[in-house]
Amino acid sequence: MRRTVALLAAAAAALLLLLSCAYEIQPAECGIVLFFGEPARIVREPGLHWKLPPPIETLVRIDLRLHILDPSEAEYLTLDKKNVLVDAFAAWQVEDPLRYLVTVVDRRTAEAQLEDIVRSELGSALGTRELTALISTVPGDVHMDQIMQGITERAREKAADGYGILVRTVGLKRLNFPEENRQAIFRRMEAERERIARQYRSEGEEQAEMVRAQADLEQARILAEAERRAQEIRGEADAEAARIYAEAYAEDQDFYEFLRTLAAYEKFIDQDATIVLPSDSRLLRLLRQPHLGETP
Amino acid sequence: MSGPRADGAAPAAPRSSRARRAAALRRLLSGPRLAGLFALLVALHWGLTGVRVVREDEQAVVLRFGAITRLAPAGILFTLPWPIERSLALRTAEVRTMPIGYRIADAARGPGPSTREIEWVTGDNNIIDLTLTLKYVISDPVAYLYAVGPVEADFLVRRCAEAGLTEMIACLPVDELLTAGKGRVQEETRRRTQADLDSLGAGIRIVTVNIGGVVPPANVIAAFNDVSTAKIEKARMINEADGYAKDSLPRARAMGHRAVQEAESYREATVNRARGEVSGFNDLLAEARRARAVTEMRIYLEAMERILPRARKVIVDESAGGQLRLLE
Repeated sequence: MRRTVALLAAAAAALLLLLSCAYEIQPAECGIVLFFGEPARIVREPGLHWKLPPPIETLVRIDLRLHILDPSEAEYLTLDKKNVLVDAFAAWQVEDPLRYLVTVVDRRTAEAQLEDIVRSELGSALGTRELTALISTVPGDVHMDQIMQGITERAREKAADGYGILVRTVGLKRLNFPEENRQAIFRRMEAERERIARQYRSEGEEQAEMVRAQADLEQARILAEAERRAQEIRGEADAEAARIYAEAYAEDQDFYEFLRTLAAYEKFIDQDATIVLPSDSRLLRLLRQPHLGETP
Repeated sequence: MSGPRADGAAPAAPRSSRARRAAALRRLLSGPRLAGLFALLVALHWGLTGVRVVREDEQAVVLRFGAITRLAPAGILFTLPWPIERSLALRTAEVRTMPIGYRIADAARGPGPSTREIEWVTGDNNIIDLTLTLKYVISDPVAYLYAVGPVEADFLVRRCAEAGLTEMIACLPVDELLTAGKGRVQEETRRRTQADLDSLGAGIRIVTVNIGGVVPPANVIAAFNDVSTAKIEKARMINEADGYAKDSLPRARAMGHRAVQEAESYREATVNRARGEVSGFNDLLAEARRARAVTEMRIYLEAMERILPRARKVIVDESAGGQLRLLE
């Protein structure tokens, strides 16, 4: 019985020892085996691996996946002395596990170092550019991608040399203006909108006036045209009437003169006219000497 | 009265069967048999660690001692038991949502997005509030799990989209964003974000990008609205003028038409009067041709009858030596 227990205990101890010698390496992870605290070898192949039991050999795991560093936004000064709030981020991963282990140990330290690098690169890159290189509607003015590319490259160099970190990309996730500038910008935006609104209104007036004037002109033209046509017709009518009269009266001019003269008398002789009639005129002679029964 | 009798008769049989069952149990749980049963249960349980159900919307990654051996589709998945093989299931069919410019939790709970999150700077130095919703799926489970890491991969989608948007909006004038630019921004955001994610090997595919809203910030929105009002007013003014033109031209045409008509009727009247007068003249002339002297005399006397009554008349007697004598 005692023997059995001893055997079992020995078997358990052997199993524990065996387990402390085995380790798994996951994908996107690497293991650094430390021999009495000194890095001995790097294991990158995922799967089951063996080492000597602790404390002879110990294992440190390093995550090789991409990490995102998200420092808080900060104010930067551009070349033309404009303040901008820049919120950047960086995607990074461990490139040289050994150097990473020796220099920064863990992710928090690494990110603190990287944040310093990114901030200083942002500051120096933005300080040599005018604001229009970041914000402009003029095509070809904005070189944001180029600036970020430059920052990425310089940060990559520093981080690789110093900490065994590969900076994959530094991006600009937000741009804004500091609070005091924002108020000025809002005021300017308002002024701009007011100007645009005024412009719309005066354009409306202008165009409406043009349409009205055009309509008035057209109206005058139509009326003048009609007036001219009417005058033509009246003229034609008068000419036609004159022709009709002339044709008819030419038949017997004396008779026309006779009739027309009588008609004229009727018009111009009124109660103010005094007519002197000789008593022996043909009209009145019968008053004095009626030749009854003698008419021819 | 019947109870005690039943009590007394019943107990004998159950007591013996209960004793038999207890004895069998004692035999089973004693010695090597118990150890064997225990070992069987443990082995069964261990074996079952290698069986799992991969649901309809999932895909599973199978790892043997940490190394990826295969991808498994939906269904029952058999693997070697733990710790030799392990499996991780990922909901690859699920369409995930990433809000940009706001947070889903905030949108659900009520508080509006913070100005820092919703504001973007446009190319003409304006500030605009824009929210956008990204929908994406995991296109490559292995990359999603191991290139970036599940939590940070989702975060990366947001960062890449924000970087793309910031750069794009910084080149656009505010008016374009508020009017025609939305579709372009959506498409361009999708393209840029996808390109960034691909270059980082995130294993994510953007499905849709939808702009939730683009509005001017609250403290200047009145001025922006006034521009819209002014635009409408402009259209209204031009419309009214058009209405005036459309009304006044037919009126002018009607007036012109009427003037011409009046002239036409003048022509009718004038010519007809001439014809009438001429026809009267011709009638008289025809009469006069038959008896000239009589006709002329008659016409003359009729005219005198009409003329003389209204004028003052002085009759001079020639035979009396030209002395005037008033008739009246």
